[in-house]
Amino acid sequence: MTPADLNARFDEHIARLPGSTTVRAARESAFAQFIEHGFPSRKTELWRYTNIAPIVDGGFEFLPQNHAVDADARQHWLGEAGIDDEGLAVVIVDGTVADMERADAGFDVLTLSESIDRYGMQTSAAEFPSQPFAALNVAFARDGAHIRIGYGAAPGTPLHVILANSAALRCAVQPQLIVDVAQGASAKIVIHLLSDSTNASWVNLLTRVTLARDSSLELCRLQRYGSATLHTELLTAVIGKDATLKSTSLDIGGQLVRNDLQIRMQEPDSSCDLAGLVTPAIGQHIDNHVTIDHCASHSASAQHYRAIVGDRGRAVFNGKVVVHKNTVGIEAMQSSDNLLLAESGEIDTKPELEIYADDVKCSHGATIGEIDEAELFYLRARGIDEATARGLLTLGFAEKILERLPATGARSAIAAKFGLALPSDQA
Amino acid sequence: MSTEQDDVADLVQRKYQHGFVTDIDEDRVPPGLDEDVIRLISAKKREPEFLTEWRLKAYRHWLTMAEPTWAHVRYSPIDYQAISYYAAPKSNADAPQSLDEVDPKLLETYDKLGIPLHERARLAGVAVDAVFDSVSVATTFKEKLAEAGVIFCSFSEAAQNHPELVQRYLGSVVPYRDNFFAALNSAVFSDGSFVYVPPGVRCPMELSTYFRINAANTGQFERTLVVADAGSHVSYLEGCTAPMRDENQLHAAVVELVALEDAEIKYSTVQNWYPGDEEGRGGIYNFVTKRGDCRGANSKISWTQVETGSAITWKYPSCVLRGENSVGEFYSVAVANNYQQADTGTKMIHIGRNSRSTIISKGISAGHAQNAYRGLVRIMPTADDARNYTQCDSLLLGSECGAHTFPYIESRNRSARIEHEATTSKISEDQLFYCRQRGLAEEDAVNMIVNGFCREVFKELPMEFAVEAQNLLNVSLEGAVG
Repeated sequence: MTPADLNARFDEHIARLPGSTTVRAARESAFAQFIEHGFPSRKTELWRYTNIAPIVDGGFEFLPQNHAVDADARQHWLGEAGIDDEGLAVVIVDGTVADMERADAGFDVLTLSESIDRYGMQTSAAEFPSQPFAALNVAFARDGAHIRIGYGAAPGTPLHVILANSAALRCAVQPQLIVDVAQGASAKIVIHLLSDSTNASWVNLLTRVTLARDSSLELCRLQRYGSATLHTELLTAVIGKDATLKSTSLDIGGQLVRNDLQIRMQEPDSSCDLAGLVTPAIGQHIDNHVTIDHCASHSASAQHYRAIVGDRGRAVFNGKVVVHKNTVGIEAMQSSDNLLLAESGEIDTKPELEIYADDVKCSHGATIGEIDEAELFYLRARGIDEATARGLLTLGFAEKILERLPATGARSAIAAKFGLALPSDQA
Repeated sequence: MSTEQDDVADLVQRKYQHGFVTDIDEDRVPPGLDEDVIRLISAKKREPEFLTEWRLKAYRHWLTMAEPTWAHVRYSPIDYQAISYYAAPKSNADAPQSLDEVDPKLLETYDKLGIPLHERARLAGVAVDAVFDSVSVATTFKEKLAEAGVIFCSFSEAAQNHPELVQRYLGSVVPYRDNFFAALNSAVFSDGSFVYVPPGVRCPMELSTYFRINAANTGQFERTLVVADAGSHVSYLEGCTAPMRDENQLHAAVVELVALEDAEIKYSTVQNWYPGDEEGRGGIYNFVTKRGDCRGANSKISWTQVETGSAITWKYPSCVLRGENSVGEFYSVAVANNYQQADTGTKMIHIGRNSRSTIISKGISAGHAQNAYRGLVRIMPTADDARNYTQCDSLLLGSECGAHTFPYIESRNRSARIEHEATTSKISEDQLFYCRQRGLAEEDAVNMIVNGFCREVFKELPMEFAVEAQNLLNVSLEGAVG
């Protein structure tokens, strides 16, 4: 799948995608932006640790046929995601949204094609010039969800969004999620990324979040793909005055996973609190790239990223805080803590600060190491066998991130993945 | 007879045979760079054949390279053909053997800059190999060092008298292919210092060199090579000042350190090149490649730097920790005021088992300056039980300046432990209030706090340098606060 191949079939693809002529123009300019730079190479600073060859050489079918998602499939994936009651949930299977009840529980949900029909293309590739995959998403986005939380609304239960992949074909899925949180509103959205163990699709997700004044959003993202799925993602968020974004992501599965977050502290007193845990092993590459732009005074940001790396796993973290000119009272905190469990694992971390103002308090810390011998000794001295002690310490390390997420069996999934022994009442 | 198909190399060869060499007495090469200029420099220095060839290889490789753009600095493009690549002081012709033979005018210049060369050499027991423009003019205490078996001389002398050592170690740490500026330096390096400490010898004194830039429009391309043989110890001091000047000057030096088994090298720098005026005009471009190779087990290399000068600093003193139990250290204070730009830091490459490294970097930005720390810590799979500790702090004085941190941390060994922490802040009102309440003027309070901020690095400097560095810091930040 070279840019030239895509170019040759662009008209054929685009003809089958939703949207008027203005939408088509937006797609064309996004595609032109992608073509201008092509796929990023490791010579590009932002991609120096990420080898995207599996995507470029993957031979993905760019536009799978439209298909209906039946109620059984919807039920299956709800079960896989661990959602038992018939709550409000958006289920997207292989890039197509399953029929859903539009129960109004404070969330107003449109499918992406409905949204495009009504409002046109909400995302513009020009907003992220250094994100070729996001540009590609804008060009080829077919389905997804547009979620709106109205003025002052505060839904009592979270909205679940399930992105599931089961296609036998190697598909390039280009879903888009748009989340608009109106003034004074407050909500929680849980995104589940799932796939069959044999699925080898490439999911290229674009999520665009806008937080109006005094609003807040909690975003939980649980990625439990099968071992062959590829994933690239851009989450952009623009945060308004006194608004707060809390985001937590967990990555367990996937072969190559690259998450980019671009957070813009647009107005004074905005804040964000981002956290993530990645657990690459057995040849997995999982990558978090965070950029936080402090454009307004008295904005605060925090990042807590952790990695547990097993056999032949590779974790990458690149966190960048930019404090722009003419701002005061900025606070930014960033931490990257990494646990290397296997000889053949690799961790690359790059916590950056770029500061153009003086009234700031910015700090970052990074640690890489294996399980602490002293802690191990402490537990063993209390009669806990070594394997269980290691299991407890490893999960304890993960807990700081996991405690921010809903209970969905993540702990036992991690324990199983690394073969951790746990006391019987913990398993 | 030659044909039109002759390749470039042939053409060059022919020109050479017709002899640029006859110009050997000229003390300044006209601006421009081609293979002839390189052959000329090499010939003037009566260098052995291997060195000429090495320079030419470097030049040919340099032609294929592009100037790096990744550093967080901006400057107007450099015209490499407008630079004169060789200049020698007039008095060089007779190659003075001692201070008495040195042109008194040169000594006068040193005096004006507050470098009492002979006094310092006699009283402080420091051997000085001063580099004036591109050729060494005075080397002292040679005998005393010779007694200990230490070779401390200009690079050109070393190339003539100890070609086997030069051939063995030159380019073994910083190969000519390393980067754009190192390749340029390898092709045209004018002079520099060479130190060899034989096995088991503890160098009897601190070795020191003063670098100077004088003739206008002359890029300086110093090359320093320090080799500490098994079980030896050497401390090397490098300090620089430059006279007031309005034109940008390029300075692309290369420093190579080699520490064999159980050897220790301590390399300290106080850099105070002309930083440009308050509007940011003029000033030195300082693009330096410094690297140490801890080749033997239990070897140690320690870099200490105080960077207050230069319009642009692009400098990453690094350690390759190859030997088992080897130790790398980097202590740095970088001050950028007015329109200065600094992009500096270090690289610690852990290869050997049990290798350890410490990085302490303090950046101070004032005025409109941009100060960046860029560092790499890489743990290779072979570096069992490697350990790194990094701390990089930035202090901001003024709302127009910038402080940036770009650390790269790569670990491929489970048993390695890496810690990195960084903070960026301004001097807090509380701290200032506390000092002022006790009767300190604001400027004194700021000076005190800034000096305290840098203490961890200053205490690594040799005594006489530490005092100088503190004063330098106060002068550099004059008018930046209050």
